[in-house]
Amino acid sequence: MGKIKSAICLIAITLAVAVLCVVCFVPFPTGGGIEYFNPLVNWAEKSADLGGNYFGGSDYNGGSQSVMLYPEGVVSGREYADNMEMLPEDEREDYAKQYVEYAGGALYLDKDVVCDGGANVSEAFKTSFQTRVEILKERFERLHAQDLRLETVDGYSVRVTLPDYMDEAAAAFIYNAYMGNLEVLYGSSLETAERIIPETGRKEKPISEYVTGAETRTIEGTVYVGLNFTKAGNDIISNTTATADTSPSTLFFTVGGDQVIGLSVSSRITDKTLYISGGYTEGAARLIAAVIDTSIEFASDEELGGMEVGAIYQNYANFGDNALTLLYAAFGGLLAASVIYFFIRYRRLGFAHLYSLLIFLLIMVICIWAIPTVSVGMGTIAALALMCVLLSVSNAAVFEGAKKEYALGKTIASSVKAGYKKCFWEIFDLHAAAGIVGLLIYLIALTEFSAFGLVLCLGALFSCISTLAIGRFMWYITMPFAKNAGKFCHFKREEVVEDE
Amino acid sequence: MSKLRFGKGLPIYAVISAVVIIAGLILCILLNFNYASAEERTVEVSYDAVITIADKEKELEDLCDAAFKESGADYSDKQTGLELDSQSLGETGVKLIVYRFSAGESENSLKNAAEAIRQRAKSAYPDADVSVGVHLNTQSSFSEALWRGAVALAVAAIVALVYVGIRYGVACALTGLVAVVNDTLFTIGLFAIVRLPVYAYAPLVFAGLAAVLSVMMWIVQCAALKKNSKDPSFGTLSAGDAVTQSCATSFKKVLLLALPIAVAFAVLGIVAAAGTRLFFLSALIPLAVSLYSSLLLAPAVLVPIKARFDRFKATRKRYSGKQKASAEEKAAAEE
Repeated sequence: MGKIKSAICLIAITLAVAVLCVVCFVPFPTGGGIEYFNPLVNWAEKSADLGGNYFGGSDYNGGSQSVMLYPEGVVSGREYADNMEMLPEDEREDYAKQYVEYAGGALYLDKDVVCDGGANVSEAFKTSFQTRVEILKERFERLHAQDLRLETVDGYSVRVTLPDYMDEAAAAFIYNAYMGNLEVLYGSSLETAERIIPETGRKEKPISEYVTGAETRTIEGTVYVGLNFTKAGNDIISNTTATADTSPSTLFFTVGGDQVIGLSVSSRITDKTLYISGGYTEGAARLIAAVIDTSIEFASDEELGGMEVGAIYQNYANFGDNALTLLYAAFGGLLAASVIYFFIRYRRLGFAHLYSLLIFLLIMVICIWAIPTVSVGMGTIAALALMCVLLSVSNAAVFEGAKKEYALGKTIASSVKAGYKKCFWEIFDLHAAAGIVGLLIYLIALTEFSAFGLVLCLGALFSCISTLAIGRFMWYITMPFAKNAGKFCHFKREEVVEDE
Repeated sequence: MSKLRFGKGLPIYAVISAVVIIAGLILCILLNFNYASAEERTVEVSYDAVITIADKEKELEDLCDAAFKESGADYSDKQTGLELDSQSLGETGVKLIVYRFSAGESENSLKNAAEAIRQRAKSAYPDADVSVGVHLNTQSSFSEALWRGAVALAVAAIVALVYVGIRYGVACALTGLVAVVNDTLFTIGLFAIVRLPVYAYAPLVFAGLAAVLSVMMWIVQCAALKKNSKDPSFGTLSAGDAVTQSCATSFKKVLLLALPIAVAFAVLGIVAAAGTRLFFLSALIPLAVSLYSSLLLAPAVLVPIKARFDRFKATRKRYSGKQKASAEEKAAAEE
């Protein structure tokens, strides 16, 4: 390539990289300093562990949301105190008599509901609370959320924590607290609707005789919740909705009396699997399906009673407010050290490494920012760091290979060619193995480990391209500017000692 | 690189691995990992951060710290949260500070501290609604992410080593499989034994790191072996000598791959907040395990496998040679 063509290429690439660097890494004030442009690398909102404030913003991003769930008959110490304060003085004594202090005043238990009128928690309540915790565990686990925590607090209340970036977090707290059996009702409103499943009769059949489960499906961008009916269930639905085309009505799916789905029916339903689209996101559909599925799975003759949703909190990042900033500082230092090493060892050839490293980083930042399933946890950062190191090591291996060839007396062009040829398969194999491991982890594993796999896989792919294609191309277009190729790359010929 | 290290060292490495893996797995089954907060006590302080406490938040936090100090309670972590309206999800102005303590912390000292905070807050901010509670939390563990992660690791390792098998031969793939299985289990075992505190998915990520690093370092060894085998004189060496020679040439390369990774993890660990520090410094363990296995264990495993494959190859060669010779004799006799 001639000098002019090389210069044009170099300028174009430099401009593109500079613009992308600004977009990805540099915050700057806009609108006269009132607002700030936040770079793509500001991943605070993608992480429950590493949160923080955006530049120029006061809202906290990232972290997690948590909620306290209380079973029927249990109130928090704070709520008990508030209720006491609000009650007229003459009613306070009766109210106090109704409750038993528990866990040093952290909880107050309703004597009738929880203690069977006595002072100790009844065995029946203990069992029903344990079942409720199991149902909650099952439902929240099915959301596949990173940093999910479910804690039993003070024996008889539950705290659930979900990452703040999860759009359905608040809905999950409310829907998953619905406890009880699944019922299908048909009518114009929930209050007046008639129960059709399970059939009312002398001997009630379990819900699994009518509905086997729920699933989610996405067709052309629309997300559906699918309900699978047995023949008995399908017959009931079909018979009940037979007149729907003349008198439209609504099918209500309730769990423990709380509505989960309301479906307007204007024609007879005959399908064995009923797909319902309510403008659901994928997460919301999965949530509804999990609530329905678990209410079938844990169906029982005993009334469970719901869980009351307490205060919702947005928690700051698990690892502290400065965790992300400190990670950026460490990353910046490492990358600068890598580039400086290359500039010292290979002089201006360091530009080839700089460009390949920058382009790799830009692509990775854009990928992590753009792919919604990639959350930013420790695994993601570790995978990114590993691939940055692999890229630097690969570049160093190639440069060393070329240096050795040059020392033997080859021209710079054939040294480069030989350097890449020598290292190609080794570099390719390293990246391929890392990529395969990453891809399979991404496809099979869940949550943070899956994100680790995806970043590893993408990192391996782009690191390989950056080393073997971009690095070589950068070398190719920078060399025409070198008056002395050996000096440009800090390569030296091997000194030959001639016999006298 | 002595022959002893690669050939006869195998029983020693096998014993080391077996001890760590078995002890680790037993501990893991009995005690699980040292999850940072499987069971913990918390003291939760909530207050109106907008109207009643306003700009005195720091003062309140200092007051809490002093109360804990006086009662001899030492919290491991402090997390702040904002109360949200359950309908609109807007901030209500109430703030919550959760002080986390180990489960072993005395309940009485926490209750004393809570009472002290309550009293002092009441006298310092008479109009403020400061609420203090002491709680015991037990965290539930989720199994699906763990078993799916383990399956993912197993499948990924096998597929990656099929690739190694295609590129470098079955002997290298089998050895690599031994190394990867050893490294993942060894890493998990070490975490269970040394009781390093980890968060929920950290053991899986560490096992994943061990698997990736193990495969990568083993590929470097395999590449050296393949390169050396192109030399005709290499074919005359015994399996032990061949492995020793190629390991000697790739020793520096493996170190040059491991060293920058170690530096990166160390820097990320040192220049970091407490949680990230623990993760990245702990990540040096899978790296060290992979290094140990690729430099010592895997070559020692490769020697007998390669020797067997070499014998098999030689037998097959002799057999095909004999067949060829007898066919030639037969053809000559017919002529």
